[in-house]
Amino acid sequence: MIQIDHVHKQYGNKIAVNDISLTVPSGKIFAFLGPNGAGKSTTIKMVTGILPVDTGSITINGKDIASDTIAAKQEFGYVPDSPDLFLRLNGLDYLHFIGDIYGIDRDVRTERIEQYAKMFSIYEALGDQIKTYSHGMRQKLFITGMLVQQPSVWILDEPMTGLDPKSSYQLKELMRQHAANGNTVFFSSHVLEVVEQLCDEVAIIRKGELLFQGTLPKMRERFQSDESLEHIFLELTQDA
Amino acid sequence: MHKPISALIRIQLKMQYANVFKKPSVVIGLIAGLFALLFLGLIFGGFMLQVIEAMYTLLEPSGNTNIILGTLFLMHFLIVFIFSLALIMNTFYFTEDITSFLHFPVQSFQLLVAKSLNPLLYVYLISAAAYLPVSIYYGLLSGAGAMYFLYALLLFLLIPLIPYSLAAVIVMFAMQFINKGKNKDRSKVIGGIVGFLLLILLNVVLRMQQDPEKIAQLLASSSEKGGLLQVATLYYPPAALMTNLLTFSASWQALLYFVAVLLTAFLATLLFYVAAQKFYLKGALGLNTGSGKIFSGKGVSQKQRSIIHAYRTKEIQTIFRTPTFFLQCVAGALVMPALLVVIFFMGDFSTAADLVKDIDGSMLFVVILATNIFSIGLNPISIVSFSKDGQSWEAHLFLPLRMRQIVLAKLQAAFLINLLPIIVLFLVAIPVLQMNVGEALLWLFLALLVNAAVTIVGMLSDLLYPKLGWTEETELFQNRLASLIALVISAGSMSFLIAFLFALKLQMLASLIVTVLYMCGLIALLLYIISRLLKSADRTTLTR
Repeated sequence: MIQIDHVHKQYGNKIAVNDISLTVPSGKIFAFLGPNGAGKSTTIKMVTGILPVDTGSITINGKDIASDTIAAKQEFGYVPDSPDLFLRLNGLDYLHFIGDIYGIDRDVRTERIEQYAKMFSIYEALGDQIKTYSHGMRQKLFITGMLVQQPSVWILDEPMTGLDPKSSYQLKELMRQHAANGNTVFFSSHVLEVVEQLCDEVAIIRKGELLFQGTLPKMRERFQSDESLEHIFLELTQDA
Repeated sequence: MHKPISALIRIQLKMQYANVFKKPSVVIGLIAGLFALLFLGLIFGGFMLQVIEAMYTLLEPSGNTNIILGTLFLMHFLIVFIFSLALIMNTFYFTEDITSFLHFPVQSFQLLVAKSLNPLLYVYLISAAAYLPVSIYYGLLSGAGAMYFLYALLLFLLIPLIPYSLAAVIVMFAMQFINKGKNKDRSKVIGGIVGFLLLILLNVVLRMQQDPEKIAQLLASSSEKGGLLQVATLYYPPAALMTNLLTFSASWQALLYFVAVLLTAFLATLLFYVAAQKFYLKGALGLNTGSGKIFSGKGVSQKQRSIIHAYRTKEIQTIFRTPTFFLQCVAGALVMPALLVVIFFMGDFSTAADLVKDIDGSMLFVVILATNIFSIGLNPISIVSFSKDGQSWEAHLFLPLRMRQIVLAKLQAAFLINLLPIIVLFLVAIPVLQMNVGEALLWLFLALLVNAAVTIVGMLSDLLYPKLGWTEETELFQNRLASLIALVISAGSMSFLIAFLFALKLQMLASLIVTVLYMCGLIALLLYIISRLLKSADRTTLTR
């Protein structure tokens, strides 16, 4: 579970995130939506400990990211929006690096690397440097890294970007399965059809302010609309 | 100017220099670098001018003073040619942004003209240092008229184009084969090492004779046999045209020679154009693609490592697999001790051993300490400790890593790589200096201690002036204030120790105890400052 409590973030005079409070419950797939520049990535970066919060607090499975940093970071796996990291390592080096950092033992790690790298069709390229991978392959490698780690909380920033239809389908299945096992899946996306078919709950952010948090039926009820999520989203964020 | 070229030049200038003058630290670094260049130029220039004067006096009676100019043009060609090889390889092929331009509807030569801006800037700086003082001083000695100086200046603008273009043609021709190689990064590294070896070769040539009188006599005797100018002409024919241009600068013939030089430069540029159009894309396309090898499954099962071990391995893998880091931090570190030997003891190792034999115990200690400091201090590895992570630094913020673990693993990786020059120097120094076992062990112990201190100083400097937002790795080794700071702190703290030991003239054992205590104190202090800096830094950019 992720608990975001009155979090505020400001760059100079510009407010990026304004007093947001959000609960991402266990056993749910939770989508975080908003137009470009709305504050989604800033929020995710604060949740993952990349950016410090100005005021407020964030806990992951009850561990505070600011005061109990390492323990909180052990709880989640993160797939960044631009997977351009560790480009000089080869795919296998990266997966072993992740395995060592999270203390995944040899047999479990071997099994998971083989299972997920093959599932996402990157196994044959594991000997190549990440810099030679396409965007989609990098994305798949970082997802595989998270699956090798298998944390209870998944945080995914635009995870479908660059994925081929098969991989996209497999990731969605894995997300469903993970949530069904009582774990947390928190992801941001611009692909509203995916959100609509996949999510249990959504939160919509605009100009740093939280506009809505709840289930899709609740959203339709609140905005008195039978339209698609896309329509409601566009209505909500029209002057963004 | 052709429109795509001007657009490409504009974007190159913006990418390379737009932010340079905005940061005071960079401006200070640039000014300091310019002063350092000026200082080196003065030393080199002073030496060269002595040679010129001695040669001029010797050659004047026979009327063969133009030998000086012939030699100048030949040497200028060699120096610029060798530097250009390395610069062109880096700029045209090794930078990360090469693929960013390949899809634009521009001709290869247009792209390469724009990409040549930065290397040409360095080429002209080298040219200014190597050519201008000698040519101007020669003009003053020979009482030349205004036309001499005008032609000398025009030559300054024209002549670097010839070696630069030829170097570019050779690199472009060679790279199309290297690109076909199975391991492209390895090929890049081999290319870089060849560049280093050429640098050593140049140094050997320059060090063959270092006494101005001897050089002058050698040249004079060659000229009597009609040798050197012919040699220069044989290996580099344009040298004769340039020499004649300046020798006859006052007459109408000069104009003819000038046109000939102009045509030569034009021809070289034309060759550059042809090579760019014919070879560049073959060498550059697909340079960053995978090996095409199918992963065999080897290494999937691997023993679990500690976090520090895993991180240290990642650091070393990154350094060895990134051609720029490998060349700067590993190959460079291996070549530097060899270069030191060439510089100090070229061809006369007996002098080195005699030199050491004459030194008493306390001084020997100081000499060993100073040599170690110098050889290890030359390696820039720890100065890029954090900066080399670039955008990957972000991963350190979401992975469950403690800053202590990161610092320790980075220090260990830099310390291990810094052992390479120590080993090379040690292997060279034992036979050259004919050290006994005790002295050799002392050497090794001091080297390890100095390595630890210098590595930490480098990391501290990188933290003081970090550069995570780079677009290509070479930026980390150019115009950085961190390098200067590391040099100042290393030189300052170590000179203090050396001066102290020198002044006290202690026995070897007492010197050793003082050194160990001093170094341990220094290391503890530096580590404390690093921990404070990390606490106060913005964690995403590491700046304060």
